Amino acid sequence: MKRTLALLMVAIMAVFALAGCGGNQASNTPAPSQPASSQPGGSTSPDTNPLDGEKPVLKYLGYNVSFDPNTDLMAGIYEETTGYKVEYNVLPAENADEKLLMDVSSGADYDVMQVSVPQFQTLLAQGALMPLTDLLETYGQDILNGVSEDSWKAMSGSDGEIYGIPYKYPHPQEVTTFMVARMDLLREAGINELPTTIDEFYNTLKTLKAHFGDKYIILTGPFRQASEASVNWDIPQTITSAFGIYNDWMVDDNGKVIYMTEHENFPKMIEFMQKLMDEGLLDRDWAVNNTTTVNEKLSSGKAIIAASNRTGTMVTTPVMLGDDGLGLDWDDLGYIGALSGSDGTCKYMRTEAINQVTCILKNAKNPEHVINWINIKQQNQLYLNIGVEGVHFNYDENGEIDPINPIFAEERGNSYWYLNSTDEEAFAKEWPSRVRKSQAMWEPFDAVTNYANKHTPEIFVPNTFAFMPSLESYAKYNQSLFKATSDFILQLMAGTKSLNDLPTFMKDWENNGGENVRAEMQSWYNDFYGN
Amino acid sequence: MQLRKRNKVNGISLSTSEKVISVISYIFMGLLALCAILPILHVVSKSFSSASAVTSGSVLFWPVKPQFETMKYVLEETPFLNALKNSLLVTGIGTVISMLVTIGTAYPLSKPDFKGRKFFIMAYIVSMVFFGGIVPAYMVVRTLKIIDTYIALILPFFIVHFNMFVVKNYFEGLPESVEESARIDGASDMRILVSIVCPMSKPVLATVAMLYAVNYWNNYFHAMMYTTSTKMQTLQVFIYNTINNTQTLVERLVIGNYTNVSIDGIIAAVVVLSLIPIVALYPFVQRFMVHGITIGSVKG
Amino acid sequence: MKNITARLRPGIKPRKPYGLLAYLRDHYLLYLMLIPGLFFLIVYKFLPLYGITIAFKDYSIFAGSNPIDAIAKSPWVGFKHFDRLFSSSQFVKVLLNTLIINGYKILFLFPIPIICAIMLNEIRNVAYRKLAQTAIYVPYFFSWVIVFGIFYSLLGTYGIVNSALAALGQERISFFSDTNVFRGLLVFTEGWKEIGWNTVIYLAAITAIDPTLYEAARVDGAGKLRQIWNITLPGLAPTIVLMLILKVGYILETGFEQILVFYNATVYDVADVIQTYVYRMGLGQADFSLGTALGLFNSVVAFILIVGANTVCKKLLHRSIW
Repeated sequence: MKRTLALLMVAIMAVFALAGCGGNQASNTPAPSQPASSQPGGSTSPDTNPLDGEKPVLKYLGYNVSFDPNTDLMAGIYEETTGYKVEYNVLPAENADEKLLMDVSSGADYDVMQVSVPQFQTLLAQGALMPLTDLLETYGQDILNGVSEDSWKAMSGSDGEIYGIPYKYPHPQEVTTFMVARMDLLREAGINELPTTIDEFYNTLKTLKAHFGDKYIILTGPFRQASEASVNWDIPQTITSAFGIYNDWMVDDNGKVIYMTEHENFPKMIEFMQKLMDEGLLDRDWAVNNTTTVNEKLSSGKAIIAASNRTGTMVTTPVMLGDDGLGLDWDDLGYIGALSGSDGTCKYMRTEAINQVTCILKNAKNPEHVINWINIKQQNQLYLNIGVEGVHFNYDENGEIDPINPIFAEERGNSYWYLNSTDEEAFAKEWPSRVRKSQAMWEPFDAVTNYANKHTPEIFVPNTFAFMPSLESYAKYNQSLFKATSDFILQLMAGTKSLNDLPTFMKDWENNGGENVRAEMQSWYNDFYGN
Repeated sequence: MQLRKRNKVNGISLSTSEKVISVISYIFMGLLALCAILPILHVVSKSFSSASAVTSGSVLFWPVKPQFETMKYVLEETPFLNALKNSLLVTGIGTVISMLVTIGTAYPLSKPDFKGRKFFIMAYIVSMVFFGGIVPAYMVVRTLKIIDTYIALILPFFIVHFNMFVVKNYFEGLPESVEESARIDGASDMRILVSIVCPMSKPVLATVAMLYAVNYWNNYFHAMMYTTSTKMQTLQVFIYNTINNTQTLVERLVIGNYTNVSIDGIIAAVVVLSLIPIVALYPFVQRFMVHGITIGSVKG
Repeated sequence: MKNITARLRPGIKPRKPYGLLAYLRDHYLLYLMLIPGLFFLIVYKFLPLYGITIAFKDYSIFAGSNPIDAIAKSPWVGFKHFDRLFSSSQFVKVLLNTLIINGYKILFLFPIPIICAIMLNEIRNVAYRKLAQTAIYVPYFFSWVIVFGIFYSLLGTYGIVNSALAALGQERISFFSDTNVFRGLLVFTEGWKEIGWNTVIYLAAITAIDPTLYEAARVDGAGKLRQIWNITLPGLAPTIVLMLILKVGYILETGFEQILVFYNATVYDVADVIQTYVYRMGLGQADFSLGTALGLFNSVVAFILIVGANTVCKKLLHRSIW
């Protein structure tokens, strides 16, 4: 009996001890229902400036990263520069949408959040966000000036108020996905130049197959990311660009909004991929591959050409060049950018789009401080993101920034996570230096993006819908529509479905929200571009 | 070989069939163990191999160009140790609490003449099968104000119905004579439970304790939902985030010039390190798996 | 543990059949013991059952001032979500897939841990036994993502097994995209991961069996197989029954995580199960209503199956969970 009692007491004490443990309970009060009681930072009375007094600790929620933003070097630097202490929280890598919704709807008290565009659109549609227009006028002049008009329009609600601060991808015309080719093997098969058109590409693959037979995988891909949130193209955009297909939603010559599967070249593109598959030119595990397996096949020498991107080359290039890897040289690596079609078509979408949105919850307590804080960060953009001249970087003869490694990477490497808004123009100039932190990233970037910008800038097509605000059906259905389309493409390539099934697919597509989305987008397009 | 030495067990010689079954057992379990060990070795090897070997998939069952930088990176540069601490605390305390509650529930329900037995068991069956969804569960946690605390991580497994049924099953199979004589001697129910029933149940209690420990240890979903700060991250959350977030990880490796550390190596290292407590646990539990009951026969 | 009416010592009054109040008074401690578990049941399991109503509403998480209030404020739509689920053209196919795949798993994988536990019990060398036991139970702790990685290196079209096949002049087998083989892959990998773990539970039950029974049987001249048949298996019976009933009960729900990680569009025909199908249907929508409807459907089926299986066992084997 005594022993049991003792055990019970221990257990109870443990429970109470735990009640005192763990973090952040003090701030976890469920919000009672509140009408919008906090003023949206309108005209403040002249004698009480909300910014006066002690700076509060700001509670921040951002996307998932692999380091702890609270203990990283950058946290200290940002605190020093802005004077604000910030408590950083991250969403999980998976199920982030659900977690975010539950947190927000049950009264989480974040002062500021940085979310993806779809998440922003959902929150906005639900009325969970605080309008920022006045706050920005009063406390965020630099933010207002640094962001373009179009970006602001995309951040606005139907009432015309601004609800989010956009972070725009700094490079307007980057060829983000490309292919890596083993030039040494190409040369061995008698090919000395990389293909630039789809026909040359096909011939290259055929020649390689004829020469090497089954010894190698000729082309491996797609470069499919694990996380649900990422958009994975099951036909590399290197190839789709040759068929004029550059996005899931496009506008045809008559101003009609069409879906990828309705594009006139879609059947031709499918037939092309089916041909490649039938002739043994593709990795037979095309439907199974992901970034890890593609990297493996390329860097182990099993594959000759592989779909990749900058992150992929960061992983594979050191292995391919290393003595304990494949022992290749830099000129054994070639990069294939967007291919053009037989008729000269080549369409690659501009990468100028909003990646992240910073927003404030309707019932947040310190909106003025938040805007002030972001404003200060933007004023110090160069220092915070690139560093001190002479220490972290120098200007080269073209006036471009040349980073000094390794200190640049060490002391500014993780800065990107803490970015909320940028002076878009200035940042576009500063950012390429960040690509230089690794030569494995820089080489393909130079070979593919810089080259295209210099020699073939006409391939870049505007992303018609880059600055589209939140649309109800789009937010709801687009992701599942894209997944269904990707699945269909894989089935077409594998032969489990044929192009005869396309009409059935389109019927399902229409019924599962496709028509609703199109209607919304068409209506927005007509308004925005004014005919 | 073992068999030749032990031709007699308690003075009775082993029959042929016993020897045959014994040999088959050795071989069969040996094969199974091999099937299990080889992939484990593969993962362990990856965590000690050079980045090139791992990325190019050339690691088989032994480290290629062994190095300790990957391990070092995981232990020093990632929140691994903190996540480990959280998991250990939650698992340790949670298992103790759960065992107390489970035994306290299984014992009464194992008595055939317990008034209300059917009702309570039905309550457990119904609550085992029907689940109200994450939304209300989340709200319960939030209303109790335990978001981001250890309690929130223990609450979901306070009692796991399956585990309770295993213990109840076992208690039902115990011979009643010992308990009865104790009761006649005037012992209370609690005393009987603690001094007689539990010592007789060591194997199943040890096993169920391990089941709970594993429930707590492996849990990802509740930990992900109920914690928000990086400080309270458990091991599983850390592992999932690492696996799904390789892009930022790659960038950090490049920035820090960790040339010999690969992302798959890191993932392998994290998996291996998180296995150590679990693998160490089982031999410890096995000590309780003794043929302990010498009284009576098994009930059907 | 039945009530005993025999074996009374002289001087002690025989006990009357128990009335409710008398029982409560004598055994109040038992009821107290139940309280923590019941407290948990009410707070964490029964209260949240209110959330099941989400399945019958068009739930919008922001409809109220907090998610629970939002349940009350969301409109009733009756069986709309269930309709959406059942009337989909794919429903029958994914239901069949679910039953077939999980049926295979039960058929092929259920007996193995039992056999393993019996065999492990026969291994006399303590070190060998402990090593084998520990080795087979470790795979349970690998997440499915890791397991996928391991088996892709092994069974991918360009992996170890296929490279050997190619070297021998055979055709490569695409385990991960061949509809004829894929279900086998699922069963096999699940077996690899879970057999050791399930063995642990049966082993515990075996150690509870009285060793003198075996001695008596040996003296009577019973061979090993007979001993296993007459002693070990009956001793394991309650555990086997429990495990089997639960596995059958959850036949609609298990395997989601594994399939999500392993499958791809080319094997949907054989491997798309209800949960993966609904998962894709609800991508990007955070549709709690649909998810709850599916969960409710699964729960109802599980409940029926568990009660049904238990009744069958009670009739045939005279054993029951309750």
